[in-house]
Amino acid sequence: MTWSAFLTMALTWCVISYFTIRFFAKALKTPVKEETDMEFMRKDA
Amino acid sequence: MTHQEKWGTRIGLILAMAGNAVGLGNFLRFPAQAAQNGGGAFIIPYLISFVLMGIPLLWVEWAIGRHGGLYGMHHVPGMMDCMGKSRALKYAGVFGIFTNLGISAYYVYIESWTLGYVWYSVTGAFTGMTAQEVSRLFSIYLGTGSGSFVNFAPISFFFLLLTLVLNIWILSRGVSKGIEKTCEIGMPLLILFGIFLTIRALTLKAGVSGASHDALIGLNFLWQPQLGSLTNPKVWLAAAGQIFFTLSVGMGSVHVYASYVKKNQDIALNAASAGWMNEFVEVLLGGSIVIPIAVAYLGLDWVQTNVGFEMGFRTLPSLFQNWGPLLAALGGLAWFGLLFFAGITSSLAMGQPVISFLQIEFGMSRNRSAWLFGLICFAMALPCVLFYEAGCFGEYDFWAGTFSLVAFALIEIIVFAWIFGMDKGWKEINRGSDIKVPQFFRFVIKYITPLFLLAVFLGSIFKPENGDWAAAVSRLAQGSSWNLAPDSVLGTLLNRGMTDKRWFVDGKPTAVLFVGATRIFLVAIFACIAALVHKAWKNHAHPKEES
Repeated sequence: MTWSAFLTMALTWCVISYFTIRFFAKALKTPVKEETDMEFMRKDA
Repeated sequence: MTHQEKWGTRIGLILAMAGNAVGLGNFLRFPAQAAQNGGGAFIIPYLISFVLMGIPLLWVEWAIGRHGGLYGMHHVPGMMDCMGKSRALKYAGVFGIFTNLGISAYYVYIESWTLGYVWYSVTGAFTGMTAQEVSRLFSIYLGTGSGSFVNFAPISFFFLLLTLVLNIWILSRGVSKGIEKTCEIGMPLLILFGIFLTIRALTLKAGVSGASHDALIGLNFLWQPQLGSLTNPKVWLAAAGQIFFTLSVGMGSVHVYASYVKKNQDIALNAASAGWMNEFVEVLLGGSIVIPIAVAYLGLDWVQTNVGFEMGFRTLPSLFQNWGPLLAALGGLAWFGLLFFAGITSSLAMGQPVISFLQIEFGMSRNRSAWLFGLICFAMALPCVLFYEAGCFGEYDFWAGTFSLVAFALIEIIVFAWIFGMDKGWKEINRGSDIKVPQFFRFVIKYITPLFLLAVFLGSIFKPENGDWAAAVSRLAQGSSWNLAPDSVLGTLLNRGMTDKRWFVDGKPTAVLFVGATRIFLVAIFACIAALVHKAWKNHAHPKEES
């Protein structure tokens, strides 16, 4: 395998793995909002 | 009629959305597209298309879906109707039912092949077969190659019915108990099978397990950057097209899944998470299985001329036989098993938009609407199955599975950004968001994504011979005519790929007749859905977006 092919592949794999893990982990960690519309609107304001 | 479905858990929703996106194309289409379009250089336009078109479209579709869900609209005509004052908007949503019906008709058929091939693999049906015999088995399985126009094989029919019944049963259990549970089991298994095959593929060395080359040669072929291809519009259109189809956007299934998300719950992070997970499966796993294994056994020259969709069925099972009986069975189980899970998690997403339309607009029970969907799907699958070789299958794929997706995505992005309006649209995307969507995407959604889609749409209509745009433009400048590619929309309509355009030859029907009849059939289905939408809106009042 040439260096250019290896670097292209490694870089792409790293970028995709980073964002996949980052977003998925954040989604798992963040609790789902169960607040009511009124509570939400108060906070949003 | 009340429609009380909802997602059970956040992880279930993300896995269902990722399962919707991850399909057979991740493992069979992506490697072929990358190999044919510049290898490593393909990934640059591919990732740019993902950021400028894929992710924005996902956010738009999730937003349209959740917004429609607030009005009780869990089907695409209803969601589109909620986007503005015009009465015509609901008819744009017809695409959201038509594409799902049209695609599921042939997709469930392919899904059933994978189930059949899981059975063949675990029962050792390929043991002792030569490569030619394995390839011929696929023709026998499909009932093709006999010279007859009717392609009937009892075994493929049996697995089609089994797959269809399985889909109906899961759909009839509902969003949370049926679809979500299946995706929670199917997606981890798919990734597990994919990791097993990737490790096996990348450790294949010349002289070991019957391999004649190192698998890394295959990876090198796929990832060697050919920067010259970046200036070729064909590569950009292929990359944008791949992103488009891999994310299952422009279908209506994302909208419908998102319509079960509550008003103040996040969509931005969920959409990004599902989208990137699809990329992980496609690039890391999909790009590391078929081509490295095929190159290890058959060499680069063979792969360059034979890379394509059927390779996974005609070629791979015979290559697994080099691994010994146990690993061959495991390899077959993992390969066809992952294709099956990729298929079923997508076909379920295609069923839900149809079912929710029947439930909400015609008061059907979930069970009844699931069975009716199955019946329609089966009736529509029959031409694909019986006249597979005559080109019916290809017509479904082209008009329902390709053209309609691009057309609908272009319509929906214009409706969202320009009719619903970016002010409301941006608020909708960000409401309850667990990530801060960069402001840059507001501009992208309003201008860049529509232009990207317009380029893909026009590119598919006017694609020149061999995809060579530079040559076609220069020929046009010299006063010559535009040479349409046979697989362009216009080229397909004009039957450019067919030399003999007669309907009958020696009293026998030709492919031209079957292709023409399939097109009329698909137009009739579209018209029927439009009529049903019209009737539904006549039957009772629907909520409208307040200005």
